[in-house]
Amino acid sequence: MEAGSIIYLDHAATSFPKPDAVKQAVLDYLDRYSANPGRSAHSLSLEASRSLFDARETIADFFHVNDSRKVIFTRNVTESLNLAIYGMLREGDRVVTTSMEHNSVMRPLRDLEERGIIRLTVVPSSPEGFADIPGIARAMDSGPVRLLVVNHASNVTGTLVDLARVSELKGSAFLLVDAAQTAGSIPIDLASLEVDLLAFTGHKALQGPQGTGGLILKTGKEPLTPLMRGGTGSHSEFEQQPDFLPDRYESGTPNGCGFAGLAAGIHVVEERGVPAIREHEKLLTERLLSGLLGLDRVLVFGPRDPEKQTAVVSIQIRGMSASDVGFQLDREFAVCVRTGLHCAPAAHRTIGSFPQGTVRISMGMTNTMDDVEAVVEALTCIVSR
Amino acid sequence: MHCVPIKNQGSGSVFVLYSIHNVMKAEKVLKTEEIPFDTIPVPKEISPDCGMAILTASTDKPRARRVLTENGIDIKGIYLKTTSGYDESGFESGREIMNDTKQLRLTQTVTGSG
Repeated sequence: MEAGSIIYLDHAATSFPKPDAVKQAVLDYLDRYSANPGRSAHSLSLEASRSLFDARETIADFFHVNDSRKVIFTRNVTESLNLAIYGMLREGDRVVTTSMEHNSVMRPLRDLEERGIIRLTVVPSSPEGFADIPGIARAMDSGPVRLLVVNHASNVTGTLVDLARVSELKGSAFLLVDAAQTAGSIPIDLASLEVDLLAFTGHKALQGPQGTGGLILKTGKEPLTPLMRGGTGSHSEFEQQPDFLPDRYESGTPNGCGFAGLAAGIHVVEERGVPAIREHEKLLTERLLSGLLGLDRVLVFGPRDPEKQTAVVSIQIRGMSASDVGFQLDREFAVCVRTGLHCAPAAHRTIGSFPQGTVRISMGMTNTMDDVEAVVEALTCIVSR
Repeated sequence: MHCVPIKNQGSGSVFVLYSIHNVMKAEKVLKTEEIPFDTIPVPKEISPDCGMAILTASTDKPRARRVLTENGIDIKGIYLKTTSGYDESGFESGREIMNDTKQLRLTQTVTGSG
């Protein structure tokens, strides 16, 4: 199959194709100065350090963070969430989260709960995936809470969470936001939001390569224990981990070429503008929803409203398994979607699609209206058989 | 190149900073302020750390110090480099410099004075 003839609608998993500028930035890094950043004193190591620094500054500017040291680089949003959760929680802590969370939140929390370290309250969201704001408020009021964890949008239904409203409920707790599905497609201004920890990934709407992500700290003084300790290129005379940022949380050689690519991806996103990308994706979502809602046997999950969701739509076709639909879309129509439980069993229980899962159609800034027409046409064909 | 090389590297003020991130940030702000500097390995006479430091002309020291602190860059210490070595009398502890600036480090220890 020619890559050009494929209709890629799996942007919630990872964006594809990547912008040319991203590929070029990765190649430039590897070609010209792929030395070890922050380690050696020679000119190539310094160039690599400058590249990594520029990427950190680019990310800080993008999210309106006043000091780029508060941007901690990780391999992916899962590592960011693990750093926040395992780094912060101690014996006896209480945690509140929602039933729409991905396993990158649920599994660390369930692990700590099962080992008797934390007490966990999972507030059920609505069948459309909306966070139960009064329910979260009650959970927060029922005793001291150390950490409140919510996603900015569900990876299953795209349902958006109003972070401003949630942050009003946090009280003395730390608020951790999983922005995997929104960074790059929905505006996020950390200067105006009371978010203590924001976990993001580089390889989705920010258009970067896989293997890039980060955790942004609001003050830099959050009491987090590092996940890993090791060489940082700083304080080398000591056998103890340095306590300053970002080195405290970044041990080992970083993904230098990956972050060079991520910076280039963010520049592409900035050039087009997140609000413009959002408008484009809303139009695509609107067309997709209207096409799907007219089809027999098709059940559409989530808000069914482009204003209240990202460009992610989950469906089931009565009488067919999700994986069969995905397989036919792939083999017969060259349409790439993701089927199943999307690493979010609790979310599927919440919307009523567990255990069979859904067919998830997720669009990105590179998709066109023709792509949406093509998937609607393909599904029309499949349901008519 | 990012750096503006200074002509006389025989002497000057050596700014020892915490972490390569701070050195990169220092490069950026000094370049913006058009203060000539060079990025050099931390002299072993100052510290066993294998990091990098910023060298400016001695006459630019007050301005460079002001620019760095205004931009939230943590300074570990400033040393006077002479043709014969590092003049202890030129040393300024980072603790004194940082007293009135916001810090991101959770605790502060000043090392590397020997």
